[in-house]
Amino acid sequence: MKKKILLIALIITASLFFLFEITGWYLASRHASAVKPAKEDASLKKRTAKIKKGKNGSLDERLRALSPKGVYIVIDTSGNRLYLKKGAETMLEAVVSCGSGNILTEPSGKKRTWVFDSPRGEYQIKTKVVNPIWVKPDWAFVEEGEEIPQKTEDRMESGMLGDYGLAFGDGYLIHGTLYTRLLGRNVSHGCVRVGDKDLEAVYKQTPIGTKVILF
Amino acid sequence: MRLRTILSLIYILFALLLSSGTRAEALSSKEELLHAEFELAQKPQIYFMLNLRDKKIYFKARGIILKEIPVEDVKFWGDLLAATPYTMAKKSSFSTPVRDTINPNIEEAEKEEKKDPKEKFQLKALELSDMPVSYTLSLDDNVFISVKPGEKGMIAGLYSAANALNWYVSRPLYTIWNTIKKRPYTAIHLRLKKEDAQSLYWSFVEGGKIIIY
Repeated sequence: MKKKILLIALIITASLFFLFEITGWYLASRHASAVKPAKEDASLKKRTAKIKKGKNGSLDERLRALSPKGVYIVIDTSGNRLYLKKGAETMLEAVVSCGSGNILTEPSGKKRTWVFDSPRGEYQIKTKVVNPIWVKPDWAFVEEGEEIPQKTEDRMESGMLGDYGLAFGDGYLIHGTLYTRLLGRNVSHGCVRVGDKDLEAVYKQTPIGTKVILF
Repeated sequence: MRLRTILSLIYILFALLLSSGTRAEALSSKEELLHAEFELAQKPQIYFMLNLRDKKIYFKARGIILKEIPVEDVKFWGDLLAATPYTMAKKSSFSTPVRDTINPNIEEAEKEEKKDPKEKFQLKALELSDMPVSYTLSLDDNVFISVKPGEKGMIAGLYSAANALNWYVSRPLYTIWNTIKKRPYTAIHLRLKKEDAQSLYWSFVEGGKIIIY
């Protein structure tokens, strides 16, 4: 008797499950698949293109107008690559070091926290400097376990940023590095470290206002 | 004879109506797509475009392609998507990457200095290889993109079969549930190369926008 009840319960459950499955499939099938390729014959394609040009032409042009003019920099923060580009052409590809993604918390005082990520999005070169001097921010002293100095001159350190520095906003720079063997790895505090030769090329070919796109 | 002519005319008329309909549809979708992209390209942010037909994902900014990754396989389930930007609300995976914490303690740093150089150098960083390869991106309007790696081998094959079974069994149930709740439901499954899956996880952050077409 018990076995019979169990069997009936099992059949009912299975039937309900199949009923739900079929209903779900039916509901989903009411919507056409988005992956279906569009069926268009050649003449129709030609005619459509003609109409598109007329109707969407301005929108196409407006979209194209948004793209950077002249030279621009693209930085792949995951692949640690910098591309110097002009239109679709890549003028230079350099191995760089982007942000480590590490976290630093101040052990005392204000207990501030810093996350060493390279920024993402669109920026532009604001200033260009030869032989830049690093004005060490607070986190540099916290990281070393040193006391944060009050005077700006106590924060200055030369030779750390290489021969050139290109600031692109929010305190971030494209600069040189002493740690060339770490190029290609995520080791910086958010800045983009570039090897000497590549840095020189980037510096020489990018005027102030050059777009920097990081992703 | 007359009847045949009338029928032929009706047939031609129908054919013309149908072809103009297709053209209008294609035109409208292209226009919608351009509008959607134009809206995103005006902002100084990175956005993504998933082309389901050509099986490509584009990383874009200001209308230019920054990176293009191929999709090995696409599965689509549910409601058709509008050519509008979707916002990514959440990324979920079994192994969320963990950031290293820098210890500013001087004593610890001194101990580290005294270590053998071979033992000492261990790079602490969150890198591409730390990103998960299998994850789900939850977008607004109940759109879910699940990403799985396209690896070969017996274990990967079994994993892939289990995923396929889960996909075909669970999707109908989700559809019923969301129909009852009167919510749209769309699920997209993407199979990507390992590095491409990790790259997408890295670059597509919460709040980021994507256009699916």
